[in-house]
Amino acid sequence: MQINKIQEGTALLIKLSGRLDTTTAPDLEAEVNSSVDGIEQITFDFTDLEYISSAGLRVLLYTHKRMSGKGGLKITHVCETVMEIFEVTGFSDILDIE
Amino acid sequence: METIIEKLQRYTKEDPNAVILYDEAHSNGISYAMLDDMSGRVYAYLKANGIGKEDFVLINLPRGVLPIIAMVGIWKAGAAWALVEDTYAPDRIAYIREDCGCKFELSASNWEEVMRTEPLAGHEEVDEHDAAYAIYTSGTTGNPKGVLHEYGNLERAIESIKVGGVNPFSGKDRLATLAPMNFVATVIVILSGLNVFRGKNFIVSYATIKNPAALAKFFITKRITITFLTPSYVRMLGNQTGPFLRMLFVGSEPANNIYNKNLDLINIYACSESGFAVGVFRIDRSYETCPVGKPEVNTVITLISEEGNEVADGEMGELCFENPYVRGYINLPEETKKSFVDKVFHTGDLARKDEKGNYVLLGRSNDMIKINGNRIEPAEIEAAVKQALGIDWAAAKGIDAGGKSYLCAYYTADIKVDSEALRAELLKRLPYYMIPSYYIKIDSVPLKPNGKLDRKALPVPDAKDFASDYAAPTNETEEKLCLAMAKVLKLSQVGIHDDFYEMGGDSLGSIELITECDLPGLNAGEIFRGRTPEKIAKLYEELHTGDDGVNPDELNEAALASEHPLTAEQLYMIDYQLYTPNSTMYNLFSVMKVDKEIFNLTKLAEAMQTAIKAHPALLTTFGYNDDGEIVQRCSLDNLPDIHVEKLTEFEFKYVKDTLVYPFKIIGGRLCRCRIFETEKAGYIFFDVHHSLFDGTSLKVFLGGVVKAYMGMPIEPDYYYLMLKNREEAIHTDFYEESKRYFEEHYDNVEWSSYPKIDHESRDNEMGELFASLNIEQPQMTAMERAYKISRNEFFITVAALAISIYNNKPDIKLSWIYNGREDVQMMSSVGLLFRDLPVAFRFKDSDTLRNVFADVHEQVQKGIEHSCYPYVDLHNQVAQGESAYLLYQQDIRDMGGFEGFDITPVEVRQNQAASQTILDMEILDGQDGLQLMIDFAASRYNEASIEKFKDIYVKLAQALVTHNSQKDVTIGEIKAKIDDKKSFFSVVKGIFSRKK
Repeated sequence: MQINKIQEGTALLIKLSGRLDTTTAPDLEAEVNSSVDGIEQITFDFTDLEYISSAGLRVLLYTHKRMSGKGGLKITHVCETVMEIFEVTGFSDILDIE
Repeated sequence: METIIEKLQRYTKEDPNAVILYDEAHSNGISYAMLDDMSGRVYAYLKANGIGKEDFVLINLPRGVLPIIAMVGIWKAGAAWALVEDTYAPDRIAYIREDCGCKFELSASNWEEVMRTEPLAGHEEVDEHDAAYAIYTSGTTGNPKGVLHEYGNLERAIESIKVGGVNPFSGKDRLATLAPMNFVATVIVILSGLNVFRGKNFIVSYATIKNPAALAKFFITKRITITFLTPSYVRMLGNQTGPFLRMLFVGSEPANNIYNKNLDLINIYACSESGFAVGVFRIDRSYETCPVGKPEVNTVITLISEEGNEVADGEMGELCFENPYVRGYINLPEETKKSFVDKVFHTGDLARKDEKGNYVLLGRSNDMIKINGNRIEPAEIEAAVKQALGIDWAAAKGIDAGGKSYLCAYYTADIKVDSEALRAELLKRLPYYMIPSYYIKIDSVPLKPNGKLDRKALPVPDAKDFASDYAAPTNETEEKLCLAMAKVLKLSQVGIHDDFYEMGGDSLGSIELITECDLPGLNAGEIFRGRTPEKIAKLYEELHTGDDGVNPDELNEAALASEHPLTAEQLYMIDYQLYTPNSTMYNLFSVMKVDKEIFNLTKLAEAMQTAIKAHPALLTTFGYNDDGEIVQRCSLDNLPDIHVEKLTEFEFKYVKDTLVYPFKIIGGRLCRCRIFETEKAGYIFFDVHHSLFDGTSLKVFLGGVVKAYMGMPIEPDYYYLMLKNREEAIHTDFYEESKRYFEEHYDNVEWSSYPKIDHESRDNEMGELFASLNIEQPQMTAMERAYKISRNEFFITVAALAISIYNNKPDIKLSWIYNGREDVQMMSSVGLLFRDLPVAFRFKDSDTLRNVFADVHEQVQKGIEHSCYPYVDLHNQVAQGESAYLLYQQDIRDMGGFEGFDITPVEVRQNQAASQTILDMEILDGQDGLQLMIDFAASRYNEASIEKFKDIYVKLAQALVTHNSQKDVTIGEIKAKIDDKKSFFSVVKGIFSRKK
């Protein structure tokens, strides 16, 4: 998995590509933890993300919670498979997906 | 039926001058006309002297054609003969003369006189139960005993000599008779020769037989094509059989370790008491215990246990056969009564039936050893010791002294025996109770006067050194375990130091042990860890003393009240489901059509609901906890409302294809059930996500439905207690130890874990391939017996070796599925309870198959022992190089009590998306035989590649099952066999020819 971060003021855009699974989820969690200070809103760009496992979902949920008092978490450019993952896991009801 | 005498008269008419019998005094031979004339003179002479039906004539003529002429003459007269040779001691001849009560003796001194009688044409009419001849054989008392054969046995003898159902003799054949004239084999050979039109028989003199060079010359000059020899003679002969010999019959002693590719080698099992070949076996390779085949004549063979019952297939018993034309021993009514029971002869030979239905002799019942109630055949031990030590001679003997029974093995070879290493090697070859306690070197083999081993004279070891002593239980837990082990393993006694697995226990046995020993909470893992009653008892007391007074039902109730994290197995499955979210591959559904006349559908709906309610896994949903982890909870709110839905058959045809659709994994109900009624039938639909269900769950669940339908209570389900126990296990030292075990054995090697893929792809489509393994059940049983492995272990090995060959890589790792139901509580529980366990191989061409099997066996056992640590599920990466797995499934049609109710499965449509792992192999072992099913990620493999892999798997499995003896075969040799197309075809051909 590759993680690209673009910060514009208090907004952070994180572009993910590849698989967000047991092996890579801890990397994303570490990235979020290290950059969350002073950030009001996080956007995940999933254009090139092809898979999210339960471990990945946990990090999304964690990030969602951390941002809940602030401007929130937004997810963009979700491909069909990942959208289906969100549907069968109830994430489409929890998260702000564009 | 035409008798042999009638046949000879017909042949005489057809070609009177055809020469058929030769000896050194009649080198120009005796023609049909001469035989008819001379035997007619014997007939006339006897008749003139009032000799006929039931009268005995002693043949005391020089070896050669004359005794045969005499036999024919005596049969023409309707009388019977006994035969002595001039090599016999005079006492013996006198005894036989007296014993058979002969009315006349044909000897060299009166032969001329008999031959001067005018010949008599024709013959007397005989009944098939008239006395025809007697064979004298050594008796136990030192005096010979005569076995009385009736006329019916003459035709039976001829009928019995067939090879593959066909008479092997033709008129072009030239037989040589080498054995003594009064041997039963000789009588059979003489009759078989006479039976064939123009068949020639050369009676060879002892002077020639004793001189190998003269005999070899004789074979060539007389262009001998068929003869009968003892196996020891064949061994001596080697391949020096000359250009004409095409068929060699062997018999009278075990035909072990002989084979001759230049000719047909036929093992004949006959005895003085049979008069016909009871078994015929074409020796197709060298056997360390050569089968004696099966009868070609219509006779029934039974193997009888000591208790007088027929033994199960594959087990040893005394070989008994129908013997309608043998009256018994002359003047020995007691012995006759003992051995000839209702026209069935009890041979005293111990035998078992092999996987091809051939009988294999294992020794004499008198030699049989009994240790702690187990019947042991020394021949098997001897064969194993010989192979294990690489020596030519070994003997085994059971010793009963000082209240102890044990086995001792003997050898003569000048070798140093490391008894521990030998024991370990023998454990790969023999059941526990057949492992000798002592190994003694002797200088020479003690022999009986008849040249056979004198087992009684083998020395008795000093019992002071007795190694593994029986130790009695010291407390109640040990006692329960000892008794239960003895029962499960069918042993008369088990001591506290005896190792359950060395004694033949396996994972199935450990479940039986748990059921048997009445120690609440004891589980298979503890048995695996403890192994001996003493250590299991210790573990049990350590782990379960706190259990006292705590009711598992209360613990389960408590566990049900809270949420639980998913097990590693569940999580891995969920992650795979997420890989293709809308796949219905993990929907474990069935649609069944039931007869409305048999089932009350409303009652059935209630029963389904009751059964679902009884299994908390079916009321479970997944959600997130505060840390974002997926957890499971049980709630009655999830109980589906099941009622009978009425629709038409036409409507159902379309509705059924809409029943199966993806589950909403998180937050959705994961169990669906509906009942439909049409004008014709009832339909049950049941669907549950695999993360809460497995193959065994289906049997448990259906069993519950049956019970609920009958109004009986359903056994309690402890799924949530299991979850709690698994969570707690994570914090134990043993969990850490298990983790270390797996890491030490399976980490840090670059394993090849699946047949190499053709394409990388994110797509997930399922491909499926079936192949019949063409392996018969008895072959599998023979394999399990020869290597002491389970079928699961066998097919794991085949899978690994197939991947090794396909990938051309030596280091292979794969997973296998362990059913995981470790204690009594889990057996009635529904849930995803199986465990994925790793097995790895580092194949070397020089490895013996036996060592590979022993290694797999060890890994499987150790894996189960350490299964609390889910190594495979924690290490596999969804769709990224996860190990292929092997699943061995037995009784897949087991309907949990629904059999016989006319329930038929209904095919329904589901979507094509798959959550298919890279590749898995399932062995389906059921009534239809053994089948291989390969499921694979179709987007990653070309069809031709999977076909090729499947072929390798099938070929390998077929090749391996042929190696079911003490003899060792190496991985290199097996690989060569797979590469060799010719040998593969012969394997296949062999299988098909057996099927006919």
